[in-house]
Amino acid sequence: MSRQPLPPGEEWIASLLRAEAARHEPDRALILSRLDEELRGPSQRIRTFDRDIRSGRRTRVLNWPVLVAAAAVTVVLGVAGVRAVWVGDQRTAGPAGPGPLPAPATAGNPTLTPSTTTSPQTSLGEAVTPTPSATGHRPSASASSDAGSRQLASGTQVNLHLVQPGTAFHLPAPGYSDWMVVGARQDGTVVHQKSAAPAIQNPLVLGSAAPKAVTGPFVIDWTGGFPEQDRSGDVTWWAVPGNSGYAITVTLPHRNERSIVQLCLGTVDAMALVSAWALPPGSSGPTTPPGNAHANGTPSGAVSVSVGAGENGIVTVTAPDSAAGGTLVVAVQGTPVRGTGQVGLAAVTMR
Amino acid sequence: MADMAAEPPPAGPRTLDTARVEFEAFFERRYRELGRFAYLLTGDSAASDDLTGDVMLAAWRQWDRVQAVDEPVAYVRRIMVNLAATRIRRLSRERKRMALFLIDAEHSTSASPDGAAVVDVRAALQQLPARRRACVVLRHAFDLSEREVADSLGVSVGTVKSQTSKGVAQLQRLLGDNAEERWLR
Repeated sequence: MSRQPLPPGEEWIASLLRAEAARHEPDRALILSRLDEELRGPSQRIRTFDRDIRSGRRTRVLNWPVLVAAAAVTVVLGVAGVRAVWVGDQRTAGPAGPGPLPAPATAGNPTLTPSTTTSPQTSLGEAVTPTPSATGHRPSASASSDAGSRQLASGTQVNLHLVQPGTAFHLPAPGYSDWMVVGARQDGTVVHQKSAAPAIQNPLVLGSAAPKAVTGPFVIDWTGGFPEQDRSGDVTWWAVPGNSGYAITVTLPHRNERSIVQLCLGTVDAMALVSAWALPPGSSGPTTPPGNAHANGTPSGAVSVSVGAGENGIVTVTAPDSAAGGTLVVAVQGTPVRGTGQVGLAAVTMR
Repeated sequence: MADMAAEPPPAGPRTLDTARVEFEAFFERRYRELGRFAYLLTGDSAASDDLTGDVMLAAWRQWDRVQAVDEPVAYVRRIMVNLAATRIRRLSRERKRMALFLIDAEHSTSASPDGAAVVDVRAALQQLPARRRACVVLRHAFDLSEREVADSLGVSVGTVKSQTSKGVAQLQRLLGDNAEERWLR
């Protein structure tokens, strides 16, 4: 079919608009889910839409007294809500134990929606005492026996904080230097913070299984992402079979303070062992774990923590000062406990 | 008999199933194009996916009418333009109400990390009146003929010509005199 040519001198505008349109990859799953949800139970809103469509416009009579009353109630409830959130944060942050657990959202620090968080749980995995290796891993004199964490003498720390399904995150938060949202897009693209040189690399899936973007337990909003600028209420994550997992490589900045990497992950009918190890600058050390974690042990020089079957949480890895400028590797290795099982990953952040 | 024949057949399971299959095929064929159209109309990724969902839902709910027209996609584009305009009016009203209560309604449009050129294009598009924006987007970004744009918007070809011409001129003004040179470089 022949196209009608554009007037002379307007092709550049067409190119700009086409490029802008191509920047947006519509979220097929989100659109479909909206369709499914609405088709199950027609709502008032749908009838409103139908009216819009027929008339091409909508006129609405404003009931100002009701509006003013509603606004007043909203303000009162809002103040009460903020107060309740503040109280909730204090409770959540209190029993955090050692290690950089996600801080209360009201403190300007990322992440958890306080009402949905729980205390750190105790079913942590066994600490692994690292051994010297050719790649520069530092030996551990003793691993910490803290209930919520495992720490090497070198200062590397891995910490698990369990959360309830529905826990919400907003990215970025003050202090974040990089972040990545995994599984939000059906085209398989990982959304990164928009920056010239991302520190967090795309997750490497262990094994041959392809990850699937399916509904997960977290709700994630983001702004300033690429290739998708922003999104609210994303509920999908990457899921791989329970005998598979992920390896995430993070380039640590050159600075005299610890870097903190956090992963939002979980399991379905599977357990997972999360291991982390730091490689000094210039090292050619392993960036993936050898074999299956539960069968063959965790990699040499790593600290680790277990995520039980059906658990969701935030794993916090604190890299030591000595790893500045090097690489931090975090591996998530699953073991199915029922059927195929799933290991899910929703987001990775660094600050 | 003739009158009875003109009546649509009762919606039995077979008819519904067929309609579902046809709608799903339409969805798969068109969701990306419609999603990007929504993105250029709204200038917002999340809002455009919501809008596309609403439009697809509306299309499904009147699928018999959509199928009855010569160009179903043109009909659905018109639904999108109408819903986008409704959304813009609603947002505008909400901003005014929020301003009444001294709430900062601009926080959601804080600094974007997008490149300047990208922001320029998106911001400039948003300054065009809704129908003019739709004309420019359909004609230039989606390469529709003036007749197709007219069918999609339910207006005359003359209106499309004038609105597109004004829209392009406005975009050129908003993007600046050097925009074309920058693009050509």
